[in-house]
Amino acid sequence: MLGSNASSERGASLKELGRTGVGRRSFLGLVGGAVAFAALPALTSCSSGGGAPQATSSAGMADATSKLVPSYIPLETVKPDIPSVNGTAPGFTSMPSSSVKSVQGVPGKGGSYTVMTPAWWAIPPADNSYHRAVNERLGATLNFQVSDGNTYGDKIQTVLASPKDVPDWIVIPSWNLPPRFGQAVKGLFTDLSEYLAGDKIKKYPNLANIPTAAWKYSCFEGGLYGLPYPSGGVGNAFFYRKDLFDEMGLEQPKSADEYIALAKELTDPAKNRWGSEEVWTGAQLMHGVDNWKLVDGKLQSRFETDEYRAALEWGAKLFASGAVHPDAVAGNIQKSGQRFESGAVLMTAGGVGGWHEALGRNLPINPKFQMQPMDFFAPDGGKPTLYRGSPAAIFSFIKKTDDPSKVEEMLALANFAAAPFGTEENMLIVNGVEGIHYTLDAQNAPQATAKGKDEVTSTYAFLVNSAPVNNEVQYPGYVKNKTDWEIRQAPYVVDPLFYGLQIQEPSKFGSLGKPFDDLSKDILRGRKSMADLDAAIATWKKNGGDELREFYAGFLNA
Amino acid sequence: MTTSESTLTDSGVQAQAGRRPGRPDGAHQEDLSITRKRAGLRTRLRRDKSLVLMTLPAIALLLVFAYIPMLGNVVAFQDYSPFIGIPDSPFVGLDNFTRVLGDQGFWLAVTNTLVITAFQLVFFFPVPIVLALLLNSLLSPALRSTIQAIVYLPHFFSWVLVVSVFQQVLGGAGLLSQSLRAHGWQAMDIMTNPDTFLFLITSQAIWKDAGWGIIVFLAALSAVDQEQYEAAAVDGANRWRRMWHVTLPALRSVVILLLILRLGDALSVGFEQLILQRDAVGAQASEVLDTFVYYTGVRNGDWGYAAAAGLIKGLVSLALILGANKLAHLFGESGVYSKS
Repeated sequence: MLGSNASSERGASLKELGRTGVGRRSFLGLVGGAVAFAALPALTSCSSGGGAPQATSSAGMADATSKLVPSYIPLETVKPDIPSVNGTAPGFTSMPSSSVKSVQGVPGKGGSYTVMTPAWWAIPPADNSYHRAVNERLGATLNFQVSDGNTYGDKIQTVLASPKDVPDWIVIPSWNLPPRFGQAVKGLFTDLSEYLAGDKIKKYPNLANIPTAAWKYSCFEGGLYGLPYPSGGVGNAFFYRKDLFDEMGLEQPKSADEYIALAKELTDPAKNRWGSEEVWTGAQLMHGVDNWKLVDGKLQSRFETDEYRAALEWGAKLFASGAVHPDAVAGNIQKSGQRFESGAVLMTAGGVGGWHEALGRNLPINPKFQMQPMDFFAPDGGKPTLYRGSPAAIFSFIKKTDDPSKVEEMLALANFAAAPFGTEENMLIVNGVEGIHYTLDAQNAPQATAKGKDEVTSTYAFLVNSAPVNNEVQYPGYVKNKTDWEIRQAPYVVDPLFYGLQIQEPSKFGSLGKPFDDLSKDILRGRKSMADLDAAIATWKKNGGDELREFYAGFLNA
Repeated sequence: MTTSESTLTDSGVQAQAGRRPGRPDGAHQEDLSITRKRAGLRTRLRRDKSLVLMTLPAIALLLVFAYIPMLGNVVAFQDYSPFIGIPDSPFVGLDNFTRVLGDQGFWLAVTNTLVITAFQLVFFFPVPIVLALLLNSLLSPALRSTIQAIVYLPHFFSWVLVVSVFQQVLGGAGLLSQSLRAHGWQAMDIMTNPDTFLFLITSQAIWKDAGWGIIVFLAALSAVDQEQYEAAAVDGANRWRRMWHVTLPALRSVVILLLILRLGDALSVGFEQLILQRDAVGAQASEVLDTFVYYTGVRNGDWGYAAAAGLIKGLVSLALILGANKLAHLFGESGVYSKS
């Protein structure tokens, strides 16, 4: 339910990334954006069949998953220039002088596998020099079926419904997990716990380098089915155009009221300039909205909380002030990035991962371009409460097979794909082959060639990945700026109530949150009032909301 | 129609003629009638072999793409999950239907659908006819084909493009508003006003598809015998009377045919157009049956429920098309089909 409420927002954010997306090689940024939106709904809306016993009981969920997940054996490849603070991504302000080789020999055994991945950029031909080069190094052939990321969710539904069409290996972003996924996972995919649980992971050192929380989040229906693309921290923020703010002698707002006042002041339609985008995601972050909240020992759903109400009221006030760009009011969020980058809008909210993508798009045409995430503030200007994003954003699943050697081969390939920053393998997967797909500049940073821009897209990287790092050294000052910002926010980051639990809601709750999706848009745009929210909550309770509350209460001590 | 009727009667006569001589007793008669039936079908098949063969591909297409998938409607009576399949999904009887009929959202979608259909029937449907009449009265072929090309063109634009163009022109930051502001007037945002949404989507539909719609009418007009106009002119009929007595009667059967088809389609109104503008005006104004089915089925995974809503929609459409066809018969037109 909650997932479905938010999934359209997340989908939209990716659409935005895709439409404006020049960032072909910027898979980290893309995922950053995705993660950002995943931060709000920590729980997916997938559901298991009515009677699936696992889903309705919480007894020892944590115990059960801890038996499934691999041990965590961190690799020390390169030392970050800015170390991690309270879970922030470590920062690398320069490229390491030499790369480590993390996979000796050839991982593959000559197998050939079909892989389905999403793309939010122009899809290169399947048979290209980048794929050939990586496949050769892998010693196995991965044939990618790349699909448009904006409609990936609908595609996944039909593919999973027809088992013979399921590829050997399939990438599913967490926001595209279809309803009733719990029923699909057992029949279609391989439970990897028998290959990876505990110390079995030692065979795959790069996979062992992935944090435990990400593995736990990849457990479905009592088995370890997913290979995770880890994420975490604060993925979303309010952004402002620092270059234009500086020009006007302005600073970022420091409270909810200041934001609206500033947005109004900036709005000048005659100059085709508006103060703000539709910042509903940001509004919820600012007000500290979480999916569930404990109030006097009783669970409150996000819709019932004072925070959600306050976020809506603030958002409606912002819209009423006339400072939101009319196209955003008309629901055209796909182009919000373009509006912000062109200077038609000066404040927005979005995925932090989109930051360096925007730099990549704009610095070549506008060297002065500068955007900056705002330091978070509580609505009254005090200390904010920020909820940590889910530990994994994207999963890949291996199709069920009778042949364990195939699974082992694919895991060996995954081990290659999971090579962390500072390894030869990572360099190959992220940038391609030196001299063909990239060249090294004076700072030793990889600069993509025209061929690299065309062919190197995120395919292998979606299969599994190491924990996030900030390493986009090709944008001057960016890594330090971003890492510092994350460290400044870190003290306010707390775990959400059900942090890291992969909870599958029963299917009957599937459409429960749906009315709020439309309602929030209506209230923001002044078409409906807060009284309609009360009515919607009453309906929600009557239609199963209270039942859902009890379902979640079962996980409180999980 | 007439040819097939006449051949049918012919064969009936032949059959009777062949039957008359040998009818001595009951048993023999039974034998005979069986052979007659078989022979009749066989002869008919042999006679119409080429025609029957020609319909086979169409029948195969219908079977594969319409009738066999229709069996899938059984999920409307199930708590269906695509991952366990139709055989294993539990049957829930009419539960989905009671839920649909008790759902305010469904009735909102029905109301919106019917309002949009009725409105467009009055304001959109006649536009291509008028356009066709106008075009037909143009004498210069060059001018005519230029205009035709221009009005056909928007039909080939996708809805995404059409909605963007409208937003760029009529939106709050669009051409209209900006020039209003430049002249010191209040800007107006037509794109986000739920009250005028009906006019907005109808004008979008007219802009996009009215030109395309004139093709059929132009074809019907070109079939009118020019001598009829001359005869009418000789009898002293002026332009208007010629249109009333010659042109319009020639168009009547086409208009009625298209009207019936439109009514059968009445419950499907611009899915893509509406889903693109849903956030701009809110679900209250833009939720129609198709979007309702999409959100409940595809988005929320409540397939059985969505299938039930779709089935109800299908039944209503069927009733509409039957009713419209009956009406056509009352007007003396053959409609989409008629009993022989």
